[in-house]
Amino acid sequence: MKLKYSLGILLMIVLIFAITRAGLAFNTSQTLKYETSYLLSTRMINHTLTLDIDYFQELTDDVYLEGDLIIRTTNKQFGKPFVIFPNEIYVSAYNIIENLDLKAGKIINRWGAADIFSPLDNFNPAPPEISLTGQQSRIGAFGISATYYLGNSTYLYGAILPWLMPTPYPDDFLKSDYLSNYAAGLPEQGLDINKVTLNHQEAKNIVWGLRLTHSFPTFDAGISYYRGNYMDPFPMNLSISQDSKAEFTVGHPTKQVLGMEIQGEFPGIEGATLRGDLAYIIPEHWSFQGEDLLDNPYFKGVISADYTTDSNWYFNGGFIYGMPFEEGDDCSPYAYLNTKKEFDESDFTPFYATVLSLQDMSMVNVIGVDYRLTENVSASVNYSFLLGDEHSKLNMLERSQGIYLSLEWLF
Amino acid sequence: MLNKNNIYFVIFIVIALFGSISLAAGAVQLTADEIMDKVKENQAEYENSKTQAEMVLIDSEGKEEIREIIMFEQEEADDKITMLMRFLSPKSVEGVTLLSIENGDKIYLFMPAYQKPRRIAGSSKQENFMGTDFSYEDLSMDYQNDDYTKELLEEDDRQYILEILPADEELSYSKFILYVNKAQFYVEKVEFFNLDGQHTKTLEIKEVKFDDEGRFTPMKMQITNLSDNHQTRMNIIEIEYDLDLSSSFFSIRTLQKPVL
Repeated sequence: MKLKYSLGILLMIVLIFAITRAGLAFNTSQTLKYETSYLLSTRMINHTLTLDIDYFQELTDDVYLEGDLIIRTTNKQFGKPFVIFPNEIYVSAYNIIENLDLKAGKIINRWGAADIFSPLDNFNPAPPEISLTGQQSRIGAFGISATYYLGNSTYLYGAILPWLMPTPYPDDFLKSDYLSNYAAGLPEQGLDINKVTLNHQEAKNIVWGLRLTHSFPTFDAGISYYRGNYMDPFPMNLSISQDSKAEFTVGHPTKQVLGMEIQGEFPGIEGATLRGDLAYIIPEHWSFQGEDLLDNPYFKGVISADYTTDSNWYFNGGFIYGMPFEEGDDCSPYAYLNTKKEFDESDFTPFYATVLSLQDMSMVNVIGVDYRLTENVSASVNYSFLLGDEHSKLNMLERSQGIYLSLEWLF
Repeated sequence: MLNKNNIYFVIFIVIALFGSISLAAGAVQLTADEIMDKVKENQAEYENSKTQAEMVLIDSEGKEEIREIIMFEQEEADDKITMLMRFLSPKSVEGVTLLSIENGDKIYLFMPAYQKPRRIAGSSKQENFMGTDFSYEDLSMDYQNDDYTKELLEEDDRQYILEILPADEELSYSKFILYVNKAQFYVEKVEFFNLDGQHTKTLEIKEVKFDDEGRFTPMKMQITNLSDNHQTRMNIIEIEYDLDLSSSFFSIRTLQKPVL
């Protein structure tokens, strides 16, 4: 693993050198990010180096090849030591048929108006981690998206994916997590949980959706329909073979999502912007070991406001019903706040983000500071900690407590 | 010898001279509306424009940041301006695109990191745009609006000084003071006053370019924020008029296009 990690760094240096020389046919924009963290749960220091290359090339008038190439090397416990993959690569055609724009390839569809945790953002999985302080990145999925313009204020969006792009949880992580939840009795049966085989049952159906938005004088609003699957895996079956080997199967239940979204002026509060998403989710019935994990339809939603004061103090706060890791009857209410303060005479920007469970008052907090070293180089350090006991709603974020440092160079 | 006919002739000449002097004096006694009409006449006329410019942000310690932008403007009905602006550099803001429709009635912001357009609330227009000293409101406002009350405060050999009182209650300025070049009828300076009557910003036109018809285009501008001693300079690199833009160009579909 160390060898792959080191080779990854070496390859990245070569690529950076190649890219910075004039000679690439593509228009490119690069981000090199180094992240390190000390996690209190594992007492380990993790390092990750990521080179993100955004590129586009004009093929003909209003037809482009666009994409986003990721090269990453890490020594994280469940991470692959070296990966190189196009997160996005697609052809985009604007107005190829009048009033119709198309994208085809490995694409990202961002639906919903909410700033974070939108329940309408169902086409592309996020990496298996949660960000409270910034826009959660998404992983590209093969498909086609189309936007039809009914005038300058009304848009009809459609997206279709031939297969689901699931959340890329490492197998070892899934085994460790599910077995600790569902297989507590296995050792008593004489089974060694380290010899469990994990199977994935892939979702076979097409994923598709339609969305209609309209721009009103003081706000934009939209309705949407999604038909596809849960991107996170759900436990499906745990079987014990005759030779005492355990086989654990996970799958992706189907779901339909009826959505509403809104963004615009916050009524009664001058200077504030309102954004909100509401989802009515109709799941496939899904049970595991006699327990219904998904049954009746349920709601998830986010509503928030953001506001910047005259002294450049930014606030973004709101209400969440159903965190990304909650589905069905597990959904519960939360409040969140994300704030940062910019100083006129300083390159330091302190920030604080928190999510508070309104059910058991557990809290996850991130406090830190960004520093701009130069126009294109910035650093960030933060400390993440949890308040709440081991049975609290937010305890599943317990393993992310620690100190994080990142350096980012844009070139 | 001075006879009666000669005296009448002299009187006639004196009267004619005084009369012409009076007429000449009366010809430069323009009203504020007339001055602004002349300024508008002297502005380059166009249905739309494309501007490539360099913005220099200068903090109170003199430290400079340079940003390159491309901006498209279109005049709509009722003299309202629709604008689409994109940052081309530096890398930290590359691709950030603002769409302001009809003097900021609707404002959308596209940031590549969010991968979707975001609508900005109309009342947050007073916020400064991307660290510059221009607020969203400044970028979409027309201080030469015909509905605003105008008064000529004073004039000297070089300039007319006018007071403009906006009629728009949603505007965050109570008045503007305009300094108009007397010889060539273009605005050299604008002073912005907030709702408390305090002078908060000054916009100066440092350099203008005249075309063959005597119409001017500002080429170098500077806005100073007096409250924090911060300045933004805009230097026009290139400007084109009356482009063949589609009817849907100034809409959110354009925000995400890699090339404008």
